[in-house]
Amino acid sequence: MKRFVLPLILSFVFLLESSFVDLVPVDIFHKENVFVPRFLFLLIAFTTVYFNKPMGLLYGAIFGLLYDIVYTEVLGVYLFLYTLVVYLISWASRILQTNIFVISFLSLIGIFVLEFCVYGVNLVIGSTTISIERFLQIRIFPTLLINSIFILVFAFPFKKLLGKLHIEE
Amino acid sequence: MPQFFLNKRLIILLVCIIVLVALIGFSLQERNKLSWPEQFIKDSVGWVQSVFHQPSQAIAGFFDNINHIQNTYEENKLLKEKLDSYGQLEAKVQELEKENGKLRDVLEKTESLDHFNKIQATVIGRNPDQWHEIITVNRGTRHGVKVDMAVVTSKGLIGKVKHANTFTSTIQLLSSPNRINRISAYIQGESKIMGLIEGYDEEKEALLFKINTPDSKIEKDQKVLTSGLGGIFPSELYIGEVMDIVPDDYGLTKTAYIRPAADFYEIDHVIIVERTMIVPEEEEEES
Repeated sequence: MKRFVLPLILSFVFLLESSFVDLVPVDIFHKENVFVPRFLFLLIAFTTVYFNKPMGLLYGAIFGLLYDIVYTEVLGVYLFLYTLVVYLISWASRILQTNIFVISFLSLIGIFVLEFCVYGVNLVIGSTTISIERFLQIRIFPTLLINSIFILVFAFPFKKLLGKLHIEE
Repeated sequence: MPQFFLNKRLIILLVCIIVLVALIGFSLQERNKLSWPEQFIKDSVGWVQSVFHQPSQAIAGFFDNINHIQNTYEENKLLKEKLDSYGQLEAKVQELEKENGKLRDVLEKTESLDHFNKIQATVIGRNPDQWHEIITVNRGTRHGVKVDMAVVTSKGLIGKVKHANTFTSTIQLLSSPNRINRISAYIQGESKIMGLIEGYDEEKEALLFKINTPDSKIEKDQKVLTSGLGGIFPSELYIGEVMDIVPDDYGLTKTAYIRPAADFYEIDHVIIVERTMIVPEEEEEES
């Protein structure tokens, strides 16, 4: 039974991202800014570092592919980027430490890299036209902000949960 | 970087990039239908989403209500003013509709471009990365949805159906800067000013409307509606108002910026519109 806890949480967060964008009232924030929730990515990064590396990468690939199919309809982008960035994070964490602050910071950098690559891909395939300054201004900062809030609230409990699951295995 | 650029890993990375490019290329070609595994996954995730979405919508609705109460007084004042003229307007519309019907009978012309069937649908998800402005609704081919149908909310046109699966379909919003997103429309003036909606300006948050007849006089705040020419859009769907008019680089044509009437951010329920008048089928194979 315990084995299904993690996939269930991840699937839940996968659906939550879509509802989050759809339902959070826009008037609260400035309407121009774009907040991209990367909660699933954060959880996968934490799983890779604290739980099980191959499994984390596998989750990255599976949920990346799901993201491509269900949400963006451009195949491959997230499948590739989720896996790659999660791999880079776990690689960097081995060199640095697995302190929770370091990992949180690393995953924020990971989100930055991820957003940047997605922006690059979209620029190339012509589904956006905004300039890089504007991209930094209206996308990166709000996105990093909202994901840092998520980290502040959920990073510690999630790490604890992963530790528990790890012991039971 | 001691171990990172080992040969084996580099090769894997390269192979991955090749696969990535191939996959992107595959999904960017203009497909009318998604492949069956994609359809299957979309439908099954869509089913879960529609279950999941209802409680979360209820919670969000609660906060929305609180937000609304704050502005109630102002809105009420405005609405009362509008309500006075509403009765008159309604009577007039009825009169005109009756007259229109009679005249049509006289002409024995029963079909029109502005007749349509409605398919009600609920939004069950939105693309979280917000690069591709796509929403998912809980109606599919089983309910009669077809690719390229117009999608409206109570305020105005919001987009068209991009892909239709069996039980869900995806809608591309007008706010995506996609070149394929072309809609034949006209500006309501003394005479109809025809043109094409040709994309979206992300910085101005306005639709680009290319005018076919550059000599015609256009004023601000004139209304823009679909013309029903070309494609399967019905006519007389409200799109928005003229915001600004600029001549293009060579001074030969003009482009108008259109402020869309519909809100692209808060969409709960949509209506998928099917034109009842049948158009002769386009030839499927062009080359």
